[in-house]
Parts: sequence; C-alpha cells; structure tokens
Amino acid sequence: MIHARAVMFATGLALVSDQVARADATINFFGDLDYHVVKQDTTNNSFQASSLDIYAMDTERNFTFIGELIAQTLGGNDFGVDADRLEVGYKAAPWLHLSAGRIRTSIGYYADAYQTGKFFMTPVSWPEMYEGSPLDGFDGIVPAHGVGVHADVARELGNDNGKFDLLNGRGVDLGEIAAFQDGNNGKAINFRLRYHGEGDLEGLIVGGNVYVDDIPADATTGVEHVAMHELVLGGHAAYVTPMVHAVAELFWFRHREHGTEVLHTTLAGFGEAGYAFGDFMPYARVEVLQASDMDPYFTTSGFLNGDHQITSAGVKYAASASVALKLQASVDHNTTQNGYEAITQAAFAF
Amino acid sequence: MPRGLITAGLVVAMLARSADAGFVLVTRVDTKVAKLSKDAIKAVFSNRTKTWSNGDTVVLVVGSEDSPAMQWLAPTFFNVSTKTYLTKVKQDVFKGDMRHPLFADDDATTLKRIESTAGVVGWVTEAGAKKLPRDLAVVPSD
Repeated sequence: MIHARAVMFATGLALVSDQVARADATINFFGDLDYHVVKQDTTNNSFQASSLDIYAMDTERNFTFIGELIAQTLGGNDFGVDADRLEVGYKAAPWLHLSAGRIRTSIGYYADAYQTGKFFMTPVSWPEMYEGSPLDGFDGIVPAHGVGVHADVARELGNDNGKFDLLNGRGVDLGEIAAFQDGNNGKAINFRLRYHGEGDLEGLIVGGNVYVDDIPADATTGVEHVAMHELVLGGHAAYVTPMVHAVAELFWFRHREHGTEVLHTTLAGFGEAGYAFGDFMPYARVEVLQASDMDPYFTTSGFLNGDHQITSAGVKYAASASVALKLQASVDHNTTQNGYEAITQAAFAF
Repeated sequence: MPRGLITAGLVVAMLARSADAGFVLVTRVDTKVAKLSKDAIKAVFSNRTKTWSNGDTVVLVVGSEDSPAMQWLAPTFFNVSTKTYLTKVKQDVFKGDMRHPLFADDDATTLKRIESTAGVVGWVTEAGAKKLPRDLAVVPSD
C-alpha cells in the first residue's frame, strides 16, 4: 500500500515537475484576412480567410523544439493541413546550432526571413518564385521546404554566417515534400554563406547559395517527366531597417535530364523597396522570370514558367505590434495577356 | 505668484520627472554579468547576443506596447516605436532564432520572471530595483 502511494506521489510530482519544466512552451497564431479582386479573362472578387498558422516553440537547456501547422486552402475552398515545420534543434556551441526535421531551407533571403508570416512581410505575399500562387494552386520553384538535417555555423570573428542543409530534396512535383519517403536515394545539398553588416552597415545582408539535387521521375499520366539533375545558384542582398526595406534576389536553375544532355534553364529574380513614413510604408516590387524553354518539371507541377514580369505596388500600415493592414495592386505581364490583381489584407500575429 | 501657475508648474515638474524616470537592467546573480556597455545592451535586446558568458541562453522580459519599460527601451536604445521593436522580437521568435521572451508589464512581475529562469534579463524602474531579492542584481551600464 505504501509502495502504491509512493508511486502515485512520485507520478504526481513528475507531472507537476513536467508542467514546471514546460512552463515556457508558447503557442502563437498567424494568419491573414483578405479582400481580393483579380481580372484576367473575367473579373472576380472574394473575401478570403484562407490560412491559419499555429506555431509552437519550446526550449529545454540546449534543445529547441519548433512545430508549425498551417491550415490553408490551395486554389479551392477546402482546407488542408500541412506541417510546415517540425524541427528539433541542438545548440552544440555558441557558434554551432544543429537541427533536424522538416525545415525551411537556408536558401535566399525570403525563405527563412519571414517563414510563413505575412504579418512580417512588407508586401502582401511572397515573391511568386518562393510560394507560387495559392490561388492557382501551384507552388514556387525555389526549394524553400525540406526534410533533413541542418547546421548553422556563425563565425565568432567577423560577421560571416554559413548554413548547410542535407535534405531528401525535391519530390516528383513542386508541391511534394518528401516527409516520409524520398523519391530517390540521392540527397539534396544546400549551402549558404552570408555577410551580416554591423555598425553603419547594420541591417545589411549579402549572401549566396549553391543547391544540388536529383529530381525523381514522375510516371503519372499527363504530368510525366524524366528524372533530372538540378543545380541552383542564387544570390541575395537585403538592407532592412525600421525605416528602409530593400531586398533583391536572383536564382538560376539548371535541370539536366537523366540519360540525355537536354538542359532546361530558368532565371528568376525580384527586387522590392519601401520607405517608412511613421507607421506607413509605401513599397514596390518587380519580379522577372525567364526560361530557356518550358521546363517539364516546373510545368507539370502547374508552374507557368513562360517569360513574364509582375509589377506590384502598395502600402503597409503597422496598426499595432500584432496587426498590419496592407493594400496592394499588381500587374502580371506575360507574352499572351496581362493579369491584374488588387488585395486588401489584414495580417495578424498573436 | 498665482496658485494655478504654481500647481501647473508642479504638474509639469512631476511629468518631467516621470519621463526621466530611469530603468535599470536586472539579471540573476548566477548569470554573472558584471557590466554592460550601451552597445552590449543593444546586442542583447536585438538578439545579436544570444548567450551569456556563463553559457546560459539570453531570455528577455518584454511587455505590451503600453508598458513603461518598453516605451522607454525602444526609443532609447533603438530609436524606434514600441510596436516596431516588439514586431522585430516576434519575427525573430517565429524564425526560430530567438528564445520566446517572457512577458511582464510591471516591476513585480518582471522580477518574478527574472527569478524564474537562468539567463533572463529585464528592465525595472530605479525605484523597483531598490529592494531586490538576494538572487537578483542590477547590471551596471556605461
């Protein structure tokens, strides 16, 4: 009897201790509510409440846990749930942080600067090359998500910062993240080197990426493509302060089909700039995409990679530390017809 | 001198004193921070310094937009509004770059937060820091 009570007491104590140990676990909510007008062949307008991001973080000594679930619609009215991040980190030394799981890859500037938080972005959404178009249901061409391991090395002397990812790599299409089974045995390798400015240059980031992968073939009728070797080279520069927002990125993608020497190359880039007047920040963004031909991997994924240019302009109002209001208009110029889009957005982070 | 003018003068003097009311940085004694320069404080509160010299992870105590400590910290050290500063903190947490801060809007709660976990640092009014618990200490700054 005494033994049973002791076990119950110990169990209770363990539960209480566990609650104390986990007292700093936190949950945040991110999302946006939009009113969207689009004109191409016809004009459509919609109120949108299309995504809710639930973010949890906990730390215990040198370990960090990050879990992020996103409920969102992709090109329709049905919600799907996606585990955007599922990450366990370990700080091995002040200059070395290791992590594993489903992560945002260290590629370019936007991928891990804003993650999925539209509240933090100046424009209403990511550049198309990062996240594609949720309205049309296709994903971006930059491999910004992955499952694998990650090392973050910050050099103690100087301001260089190196990040290394070893990942399952691309799935059979842009929308697939190999979270359970890799489509091939080859792994993607991504390396990013950056300089962070200090003093008068505080806010400046300049960096570059090399990303190498092997894309598995897709035999699905209608969207089939052969396996390809992928090389991505990227460069980015950002100068972001409370007053000034300037970001430019350029990526070059080369896909070489297995068994042949057929090459497909795509160049994608954007530049955006804004300047704050109090709580208001007017901004503009120009995106450009040029392709050598219709890359079968991109096109069968739904990404329309004909040459085109998107020009956007808008204003962001920081209503509080948790709510931002934005108004943006965009024109998508392509070889056949132009598309027009206007969005009013309330983005939040609680 | 008219009584109204004297009263107005006293009110202005009180407001000026309140606006000048300083805050001091407080940590646990076992964090072993002897002194911090203004640049070092900026580095801590902008997430550039993530670890104390004793190995503990830096954990900030922040308040709401209306908290006096935040209204003092953001313009004094970063020359930005409170909401701009708190937005940056949220962004760093969301990126996974920063340990989630602890929240407090007054001296008593801030001191509780600092006592609760190793590596926590927060701002307390000079008056609130006059009688600190034994395990807490004011960090002198330049």
